[in-house]
Amino acid sequence: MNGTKLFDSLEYISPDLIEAADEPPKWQRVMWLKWGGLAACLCVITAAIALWAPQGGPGGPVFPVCPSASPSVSDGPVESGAHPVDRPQEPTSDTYSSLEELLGYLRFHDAHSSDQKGGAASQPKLTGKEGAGTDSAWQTGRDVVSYEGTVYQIVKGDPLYNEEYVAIFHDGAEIGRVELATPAEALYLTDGKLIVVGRRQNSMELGPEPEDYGTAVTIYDLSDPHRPAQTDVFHQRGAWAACWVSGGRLWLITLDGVCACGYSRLADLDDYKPKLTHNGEDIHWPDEDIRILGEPTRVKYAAVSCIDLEDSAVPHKLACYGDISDVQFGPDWFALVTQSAAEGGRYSLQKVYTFDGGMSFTGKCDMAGIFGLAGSGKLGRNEAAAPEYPDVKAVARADGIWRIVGEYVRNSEGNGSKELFAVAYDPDGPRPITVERIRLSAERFDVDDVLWEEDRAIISIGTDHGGTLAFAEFRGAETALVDSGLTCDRVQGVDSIYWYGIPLGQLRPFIPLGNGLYLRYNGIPDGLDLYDLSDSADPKCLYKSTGDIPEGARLDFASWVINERTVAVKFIPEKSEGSYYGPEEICTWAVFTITSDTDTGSPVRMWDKQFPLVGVDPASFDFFEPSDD
Amino acid sequence: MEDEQIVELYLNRDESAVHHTAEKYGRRLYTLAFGVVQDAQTAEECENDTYLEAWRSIPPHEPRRYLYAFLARIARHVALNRCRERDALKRGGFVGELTAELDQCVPVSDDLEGHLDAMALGEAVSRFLRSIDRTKRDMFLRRYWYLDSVSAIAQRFGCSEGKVKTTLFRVRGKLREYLKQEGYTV
Repeated sequence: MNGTKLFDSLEYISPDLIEAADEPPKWQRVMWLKWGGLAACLCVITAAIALWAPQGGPGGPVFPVCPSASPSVSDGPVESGAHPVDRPQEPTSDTYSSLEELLGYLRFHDAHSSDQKGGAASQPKLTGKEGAGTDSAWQTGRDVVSYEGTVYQIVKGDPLYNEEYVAIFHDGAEIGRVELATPAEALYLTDGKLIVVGRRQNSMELGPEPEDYGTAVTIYDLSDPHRPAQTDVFHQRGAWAACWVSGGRLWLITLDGVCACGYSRLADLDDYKPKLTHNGEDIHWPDEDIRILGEPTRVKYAAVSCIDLEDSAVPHKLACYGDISDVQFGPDWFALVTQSAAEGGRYSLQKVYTFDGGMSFTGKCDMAGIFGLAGSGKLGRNEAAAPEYPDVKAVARADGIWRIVGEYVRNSEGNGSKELFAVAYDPDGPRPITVERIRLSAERFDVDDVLWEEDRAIISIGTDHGGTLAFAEFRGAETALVDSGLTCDRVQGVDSIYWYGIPLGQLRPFIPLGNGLYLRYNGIPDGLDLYDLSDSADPKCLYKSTGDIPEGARLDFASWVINERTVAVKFIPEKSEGSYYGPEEICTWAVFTITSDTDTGSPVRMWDKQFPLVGVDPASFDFFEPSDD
Repeated sequence: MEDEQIVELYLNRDESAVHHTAEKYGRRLYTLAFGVVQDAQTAEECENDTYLEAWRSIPPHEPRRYLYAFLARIARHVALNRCRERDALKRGGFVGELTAELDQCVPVSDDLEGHLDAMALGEAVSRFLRSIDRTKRDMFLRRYWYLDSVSAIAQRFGCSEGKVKTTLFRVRGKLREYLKQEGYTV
């Protein structure tokens, strides 16, 4: 037996002893009384002095004492000695001038090792910003689309056997299938073409060749909607990460280079270079389409390609190597957030590299520089992270100006504290960066979701006692944060949810209706609350749902905005909770309408309707048809 | 909401159980985790993992009368695992330091190791702790269960760090003697 065993055995200490040890010691209570009494006496004396000398006594004017937790801390424009901004003309790495140099270095400095387990650089997360732009042609993938009365739907069979195909329906009946070699991620429809994006992965059927690991984009011509004809196949090396269609072009992001454990796969570094083929022919990926971001500690890269769906050309592509921790994207931009994991006793803070629709580098925000912190450093003996650091949660771009929202973490303060921050970055402006930072009224919080709008971000925040809202207002390159103080249910946004590896979409707490009105899921979710957020300084909850939907039923996060007053939300099929598409053939949708009828006292009216689960596109549902009952 | 009601929600698979747990004990669990991992983000992750683990563990467990202790045990375990992963990379660290202190309580021999499980040992330590003065007991638990620093304990109990160190040293010595008597020694 040793100390470790004894230490572990303490887990089994009697619960009453553990509870007792967490109670404040008696002396604390006594001391509180003692000091509290003394403070009360001081207050009385101070008040007496103030009454005696109202025009200012010997101590001069008395100002109200600011609480230590200041409600608002604005940093104003940054004129830091550090260089928080690299303009577009700057190189993205001062250390490496070519990929060969980087790979040559990492070959000897990063590898799997039996004495290094866990905690390594994690796989990057991805955050799509649906609705972040004004481009109406922006579409994220769906699992069902329709064209001239014909419906195409990804049907999920047994995930163990990758049994998957696109079923073709007409008048509700299946009339054909498009067999898929690999699991489909999403369907897109544009100009008489059906686009199927699927991931290819190593498997017994596909063989172990590196070419089999990647993402396939297959384009079908729908001249005969009942018989889609395959015209083009693109294949990009790397794991599928995101794709979307905007302005007649398909954007595809894949990630490659590191194992799930976080260390570089160094068996053959040549395998970790970007590769794109079109109908089996290699598309040359020249050095000028490769960028190195900072000083990577891993062989990790994001490959972004843009496919013109009209002529099947690839006008732009770019591979970025770096310690990528987050990929954010919108209709015609993307941003890569880099950060080295805190390991080996060192950390490095985040940098945000921004790129426009032509994949041109539009500048870098060095988050450490913005907040006047050291960009990297050594961890103290008991430190898991830097004493203070900004944590970027969401990025968006509007009118050429980049906007960033995140949490500012202070580990150095007591039990750790956080502030909310917003950054506006104008690469071409005279004052490139403005930043605002506030301490919220809630002591502890998490940014659960950010809904970007034309000139503001609605920030859903989770607290100990539920949720609240904050707003980041943007005017050109200026930004301001508002803590609404409004309480609401906590709903955490999820960027991508999966069922057996099949992406089901995103969870977003708010459904925008226009005119400043929003429906928001309650926490369960078994209803929708109605908010008027037209004025950030005075947001209002107009209606809080209480049992709108049948008892025991739950709302799915799949919603369909029908018009400015009506939204349909799918129910989770009760019998198949835990699986997504159960054996049921029908699915119930709840239809919520904003009414002006004040007789019932409820501005939100709900009824439910049933529709077939497969073979129909929700876009064609007649939600207004009277229900059977 | 009373602990019993919260546990009832878990047993009924009502997800609001997590919400009520967070509302009642979130702060304390976070503080416990922060004390171990020393990072606000990681502490939050530990807190959330605690809720997830509680959701998985109730049922079969029904900690109606000791819900906080049940949750705290999970939070401590989760936070320590995070710390151990990190220490594996840093080669030594906080957890290593504490276990080295507790090494003084137990004999060097490993003869009995295979025959003793942690639960029985935990019970023996509980019996020992019940036999000593409340303040000393709480100081010991604050240090080795809640993983507070010596300075934090000194602040909590309104005494000097030297006194805390001396008290812990003596309690460790007594624990060593007790464990010997209980047969945890050659």
